[in-house]
Amino acid sequence: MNEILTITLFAIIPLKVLFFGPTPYDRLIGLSVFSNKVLVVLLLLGVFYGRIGFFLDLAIGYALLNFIGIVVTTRFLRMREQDEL
Amino acid sequence: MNFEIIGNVLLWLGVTFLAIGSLGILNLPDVYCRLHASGKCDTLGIFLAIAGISVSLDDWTEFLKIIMILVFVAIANPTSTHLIGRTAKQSKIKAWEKTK
Repeated sequence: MNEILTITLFAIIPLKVLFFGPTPYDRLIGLSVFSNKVLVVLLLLGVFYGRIGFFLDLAIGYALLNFIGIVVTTRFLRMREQDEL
Repeated sequence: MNFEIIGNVLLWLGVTFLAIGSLGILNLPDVYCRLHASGKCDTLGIFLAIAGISVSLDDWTEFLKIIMILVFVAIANPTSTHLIGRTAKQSKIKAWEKTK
């Protein structure tokens, strides 16, 4: 239980970068760090509730969505800049 | 008993690295400096934390799934960090040049 509370406390910190970051890339880094913390919290909650098999599937989906979301967002930002030139 | 101690040590090492990564994200001034904190501390922290959770599992299908998550995160997290840095360099974000 202690480690869940600690990671949740340190998952609040990147939200400052996610909301107030000066460039879109700062916000992407904040989103990536926040998602990694949420992934570890999901697995620890599965251990805590004793239903790790259910939470493991959620964690696989969350990791895949995190990676694909970052890839698609960087492609989108690059395409938008090329359109503005 | 012995595996429980190993799992707890790995888990708390991972929590320490994740905390250092969060503080680095907050304190460093630039996109590229923040990528430094995100790329190394976060990958090592999530790797150690998932390894510490995987020690305490007893069913082998759950163990296989968590090893899949670990390998995928260890490949995908540095890749996404590299992708953010390369896109920021291509769109001509200035690097931070002052000294503290």
